[in-house]
Amino acid sequence: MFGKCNNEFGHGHNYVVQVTFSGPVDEATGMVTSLSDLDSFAQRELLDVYDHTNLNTLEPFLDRVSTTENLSMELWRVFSAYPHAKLERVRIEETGNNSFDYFGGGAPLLS
Amino acid sequence: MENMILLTRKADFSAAHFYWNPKWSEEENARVFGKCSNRQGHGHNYTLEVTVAGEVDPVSGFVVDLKKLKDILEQEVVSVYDHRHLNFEVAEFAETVPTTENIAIAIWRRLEGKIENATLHRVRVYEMPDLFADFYGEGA
Repeated sequence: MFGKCNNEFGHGHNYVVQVTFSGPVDEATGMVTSLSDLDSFAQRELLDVYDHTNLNTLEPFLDRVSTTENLSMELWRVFSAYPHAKLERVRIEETGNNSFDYFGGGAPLLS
Repeated sequence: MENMILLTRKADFSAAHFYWNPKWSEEENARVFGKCSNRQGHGHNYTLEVTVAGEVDPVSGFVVDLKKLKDILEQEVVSVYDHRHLNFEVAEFAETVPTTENIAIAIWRRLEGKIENATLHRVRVYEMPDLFADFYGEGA
């Protein structure tokens, strides 16, 4: 079923995560949200937890296969907690040839 | 649709083409299509991005098996288009101008219904890094 992905010693990817948020443009700042706030959130909630780890050892993947599909849904849960804008899409590039989009179960954006 | 995911897979092919409408004069073709009307043809390195939509299987964690999707793209598109002259060697362009738009539509028609457990969502064809066309199916 899983081919070379089921090597018990694991394998790695350089994942690229894109998160898309929507919200009104603040009149004073001209911003939807402060990018430095979002950077800090991503550092704390994503990179500090996931970067250079074995995903299979992390709590969300103890009972789920760590496919990029499942990782997309887990990162939706993570980033939907960002308090300053509305999460619209999580995109993860697993390699230069594969990517996955999750919209929280809603309809996909045409983009 | 709680677990609906869009999955995108890329593939590359290189092909030759030219733009020509046989109902028009040589001057009219040159006026409309410019240097693309040179009937000696010219080539591009195309990049194809195929996006499918589907539910994540709770057991495998997959929408579709990426290896199978790669094989379908190879069989249905790359093996037919790669290193071919689209105007002369690919049936759908015998009477249709092989523009990036028409290539996207043709690839959609080649792939529609071929991918198990998922539906075709978008076909994106890059003719060059700064030019691409998207097709979401008839009526979309």
